[in-house]
Amino acid sequence: MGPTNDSTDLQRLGDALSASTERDVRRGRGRSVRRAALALAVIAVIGTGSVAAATLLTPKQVATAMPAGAVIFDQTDPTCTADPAGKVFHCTLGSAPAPDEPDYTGSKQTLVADGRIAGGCIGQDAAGMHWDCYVGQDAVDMEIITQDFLGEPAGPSRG
Amino acid sequence: MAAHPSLETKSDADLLRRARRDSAAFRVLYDRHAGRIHAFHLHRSRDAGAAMELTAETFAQAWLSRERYVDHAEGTAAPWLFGIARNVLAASVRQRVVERAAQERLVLGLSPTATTVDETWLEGLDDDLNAALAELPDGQRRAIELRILADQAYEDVARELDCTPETARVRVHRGLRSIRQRLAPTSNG
Repeated sequence: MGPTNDSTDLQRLGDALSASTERDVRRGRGRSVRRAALALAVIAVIGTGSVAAATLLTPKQVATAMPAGAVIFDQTDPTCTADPAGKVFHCTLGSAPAPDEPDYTGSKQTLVADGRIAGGCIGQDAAGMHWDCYVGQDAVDMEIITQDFLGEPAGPSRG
Repeated sequence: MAAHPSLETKSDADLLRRARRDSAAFRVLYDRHAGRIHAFHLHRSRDAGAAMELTAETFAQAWLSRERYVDHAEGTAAPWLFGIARNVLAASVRQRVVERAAQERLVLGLSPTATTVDETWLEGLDDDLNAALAELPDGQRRAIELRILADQAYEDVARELDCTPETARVRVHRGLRSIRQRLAPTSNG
């Protein structure tokens, strides 16, 4: 490859990089807007002064978000209760999940609400009947989902 | 190359600060350094396709870590970029496949080439830098070792070299300029 080709190829690489970085900046702005909208929604729903951000979703909504986020929860009829601190949702399945894993202890599954990644759950027992679920930033802090994943469209496939 | 007249006069450090929210600033930085980074990778790999992929990964990583950039070199990002380039090269050799994680995260969309990664890519890597350092006058070499490699403040460098901080700054600046000239690509890469 001669200097002229190198120069052309480097320019092409620069153009591709510019397109990707611009997209990345716009995505970042989108995330900021979504976070701001989410914060406003929390304030609107629970009022200022409350620290229970997880109350953005009710226990019933978390139970609905489980099968929406992970196919193993299909037809498992989950029910959830909120921890008094408002951070953890303790969820129990009415019937066993699909036997995708030999041991569900520590297994991580996503929660999807309104078509977007809203949080995630961690398996508490081998049979997969009990799950602790976290919403929003709490799920990121628990390393169930990554920061970039939170709020993203869930897409057609489920985990 | 893309034209951004208002950005062309900015230092690399300024560009990286602006690049947190402005991709055009990063493009100017790319245009400024891509040739040398590519020449470095081409010199190491002797493979045109690999050099381009390694260059892409170097700048993709630079973009993703731009908020962690700290200006230790008088506003130039060259040492930082070469550090990333070196890490990309080493990671590729370690994995025996050209590192592409940052490109994939950015969805850069470049087709991977059928490159055979070779351990010889790393041979003599430190020698180039050491040779460039060895050619510097003692004061400049020591100033760079303390300021850039040991990450000491100019006041500490000055104390060590028994000179003023301003003199230490000048020695680092001149030394870096000499190294840049020493490591600059030749016309045939």
